[in-house]
Amino acid sequence: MKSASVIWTSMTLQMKQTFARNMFKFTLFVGPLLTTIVLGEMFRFSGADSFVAYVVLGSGIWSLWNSIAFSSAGDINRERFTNTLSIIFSTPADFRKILLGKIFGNTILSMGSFFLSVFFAIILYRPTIYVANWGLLFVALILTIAAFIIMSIFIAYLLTLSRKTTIWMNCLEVPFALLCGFVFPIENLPQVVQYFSWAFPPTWAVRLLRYPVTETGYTFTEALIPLLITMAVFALLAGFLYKAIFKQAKVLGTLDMA
Amino acid sequence: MISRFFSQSWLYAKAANAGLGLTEFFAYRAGISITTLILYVLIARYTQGDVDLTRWVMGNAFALCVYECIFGMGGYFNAERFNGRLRSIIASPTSKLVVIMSSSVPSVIIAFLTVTGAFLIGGLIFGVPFANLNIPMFAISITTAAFACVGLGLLFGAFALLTDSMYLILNALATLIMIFSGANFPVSQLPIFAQYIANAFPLFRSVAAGNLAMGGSFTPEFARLILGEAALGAIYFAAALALIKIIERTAIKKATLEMF
Repeated sequence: MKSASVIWTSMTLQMKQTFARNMFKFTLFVGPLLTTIVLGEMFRFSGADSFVAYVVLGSGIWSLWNSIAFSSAGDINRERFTNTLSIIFSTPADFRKILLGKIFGNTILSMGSFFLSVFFAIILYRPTIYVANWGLLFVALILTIAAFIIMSIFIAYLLTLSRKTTIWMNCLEVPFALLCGFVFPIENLPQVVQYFSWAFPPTWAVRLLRYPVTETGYTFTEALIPLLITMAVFALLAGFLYKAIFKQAKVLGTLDMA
Repeated sequence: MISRFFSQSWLYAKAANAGLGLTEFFAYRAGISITTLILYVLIARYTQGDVDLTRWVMGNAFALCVYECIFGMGGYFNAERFNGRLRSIIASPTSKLVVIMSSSVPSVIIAFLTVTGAFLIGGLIFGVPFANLNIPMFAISITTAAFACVGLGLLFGAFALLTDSMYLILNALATLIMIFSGANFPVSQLPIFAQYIANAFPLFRSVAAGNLAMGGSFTPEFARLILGEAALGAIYFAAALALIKIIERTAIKKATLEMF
């Protein structure tokens, strides 16, 4: 109950603070529209038969990734900048729960950018949308969000000890869109690079999400099992990372300086 | 005077990059650029099939000007305010044009190196026929593109004296430049009014000029595109200077110079 209260307080506070930021308004409203236009125009006269999978869902996933990854990584930086990072790290409430609350808050807001991207793509390009199984699509969407939350936690921990958070989070945006096949199939990448792609949950999450609208490529189960495995691996890695960060922050006392 | 101009440029470049370690410098300056180029060219390859990808490699290499010129120069006044130097710049009798121009030199050089490096690497990956490249035309196209982008970056950077929404403005501007540049799809696909707007954006002409550098020679069409882009850049610089003067006067009158 106490944990839920910490997560809830952190989440609601996070949502209020995030929504007040102008940059988030870009990520939420303007970014999805412009990304959809770029992708939509690239696919429009191409003859590629995957407009729904790579423009409608692709722009949504990309916007979702941008919102979640940028917010969660940036939040650590903002806490450091306002001198509150060491306070929330050493407060009796568990840092992991505070961070989880922040990520939940960001995720709820980021869903807005996902749905707005989908909405813009439908309004601007009026594609024929066929969904074979709405139930599977819903389950896939929930699992996609869960996968992105785990990645956010991992990235946020990874960047906790870096002072160059802004630089690194900018470095994450495009490589993940590229590696995880947000806007084109990863089969277009060299085989060696595909091995890296398979290691990340978002790769399997987007495959899972696409299956109900394309019914081609990997089946739902073929994508689901690797997704669950990679999610578990990244959750474990995040756990180890937290322990390492905790130890380093306590031993070196450089959390605010790092 | 000239040596002070370049020493200011050097100082500005050092201040902008000195905080980066070698890995961070390459990840930030080169890594983002190369992966962005690869991403868009791969989308083009997926959507267009087995075609010559030179046009996309060229266009997306040019589009990388945006990172340095728009975000770098657009954030110039924000950075000066953050560092507490803005009041010195405004109060100083030195011409604001000189201050602005000196700070823009590193951005043009970095943009030139970024575009060239990304074009070479992207070209090697996607099989661009370098033998057909007219190097002087290519170099002129990049320099003009960087000049125009820096001008637009400064023009919008001046708004930092009035608003705290700079990141929203600059991000939107950067994506609009990409849309109107024709780097990833022909601008003729856009509605007519958007095609007119594209004429007022940098890269629209220089990307076309860059494409002419592949297997081409100096032609009146190339000259028209380059002169058009250079004139656009000059207009941006003049507008930025005028805007700074107006905003400076307003900010002094209303004491809002360091309000945000």
